[in-house]
Amino acid sequence: MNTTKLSAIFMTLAIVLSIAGFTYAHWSDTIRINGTVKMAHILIDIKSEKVLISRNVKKYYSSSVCYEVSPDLHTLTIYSKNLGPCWWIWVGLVMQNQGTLPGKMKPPVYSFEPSDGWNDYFETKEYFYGPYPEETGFGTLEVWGKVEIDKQLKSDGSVTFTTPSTPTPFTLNPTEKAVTWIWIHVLPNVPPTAMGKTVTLYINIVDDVDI
Amino acid sequence: MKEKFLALLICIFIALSTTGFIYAQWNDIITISNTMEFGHLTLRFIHPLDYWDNEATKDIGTLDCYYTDPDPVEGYEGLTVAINNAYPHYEAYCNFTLKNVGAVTEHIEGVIITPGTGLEVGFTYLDINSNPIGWQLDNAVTHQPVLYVYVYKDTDLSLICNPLDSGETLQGKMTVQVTDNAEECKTYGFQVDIDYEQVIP
Repeated sequence: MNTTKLSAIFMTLAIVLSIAGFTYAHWSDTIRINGTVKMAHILIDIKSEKVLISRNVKKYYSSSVCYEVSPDLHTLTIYSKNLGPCWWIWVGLVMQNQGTLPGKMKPPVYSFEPSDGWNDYFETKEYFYGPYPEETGFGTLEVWGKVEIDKQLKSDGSVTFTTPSTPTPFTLNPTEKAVTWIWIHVLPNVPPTAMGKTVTLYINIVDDVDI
Repeated sequence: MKEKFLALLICIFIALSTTGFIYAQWNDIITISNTMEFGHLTLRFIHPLDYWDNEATKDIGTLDCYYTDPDPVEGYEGLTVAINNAYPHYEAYCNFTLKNVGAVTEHIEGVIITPGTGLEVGFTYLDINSNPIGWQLDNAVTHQPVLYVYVYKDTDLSLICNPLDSGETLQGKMTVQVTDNAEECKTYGFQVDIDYEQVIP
C-alpha cells in the first residue's frame, strides 16, 4: 500500500514538473513597428520692406518716418512723427512662405493701441500681388522694383499697376512669395484732442494654414 | 581426485571461454541515430503593405511605410511608419500583413507601445477582451494628447490571441492621428512591440 502511494506521488510530481518545465521553456519572440511623426510648420517671413512717404507729406507735416524689421522677420515696426489730418503713407512688404505648409493669406487685421476710437480716424486700403515662384527677381517686378509714390502709389489710396491685384484669401505655397501694399490714411475728421497723442497701429497679416 | 577436480575446472573454463568467444563473434551493436531539427517560431511582416492618408485634395503631409530588417528565410522583422510634414488632424493609415513563417503554431500575446522622447501614454483603448488596440500619447509636460496610435486586427479587435498555424497570415492595421496639441517643427516617435509566443497544445 505504501509502495503504491509513493509511486503515485512520484508520478504526479514527475508529470507536474515536466509540464511546468515545458511551459517555462516555451518559445517567444518580438517583432517591432517604429513610428515617427515629423510635424510641419507654418512660417511666413518678411523678405523686403518699403515705407514710402511723399515729399508733400514730409514738407507739410514736418513728418518723419523710420522703420525696422524684427530679427525674426515677422514684424515691421514703423515710427511716424507729426501726423495730422489727411496724412498718409504707403507700406510695402515682400513676404515668403518659408514653412512647409501652404499658407492662406487673408486681409490684414488692423488694431490700435490705445484702442479707444482711433479706428474712426484712420482709413486703410490694401493690395496683394502674387503668388510668385521663389526664383522671381523682384527688381524688375512692376509691383515692387521701381515703384514710386505719387506715380504708381497714389495719394488717394489707389494704384496704377497694370498687374491686377490678387483677391484675398489666396494660397501661398511653401517657398512662394507675395507682395502687399498698404495705404494708411488719417481722416480729415481727426479731432484736435489727438494733437500730441501717440498711437500705434498694428497690422497683422494673417497666414492660416491652407489645407 | 585432485586431478579430476582440476580437469573439471579446466574443462569448465575452456567451455565458458569458447562460449564467450562465440557470443562475442555474434554480438552486434545497434545504433539509433535520430537527427532532430527543431522548428522555428517566427512571425514576420510580409507584403502586401498598403498605406495612405486622409488628404483628399492637397498633398502636404507625406507618409512612408516600409519593412526593415529582412529575414533571410522570408519576410521582415521591422516595420517603419514615417510621417513628414504632419499637421493637426492629419491621419495616416497602414495595412500590414503578418505571417507565421516558422513551423510552430503561434499567437500574439502582447502589443506594447513605447512612447518616444517628450511623450507618455495617457490612455489605453481596449477591445471587448480587454486587449489593447490603441493609445493616446500625451505631451509629457502639458499632459495634453498629441497623437493617437491604433494597432488592431479590426476596428474593435486586437491582434492578440489569434492562433496562426505555419504559413498562415494575419492582416494588421495601424492608424496614427495628429491632434491640435501637436507642436510645429517637432518630431514625435513611438515604438510598438508585437510579442508573440508558441501556442501550447
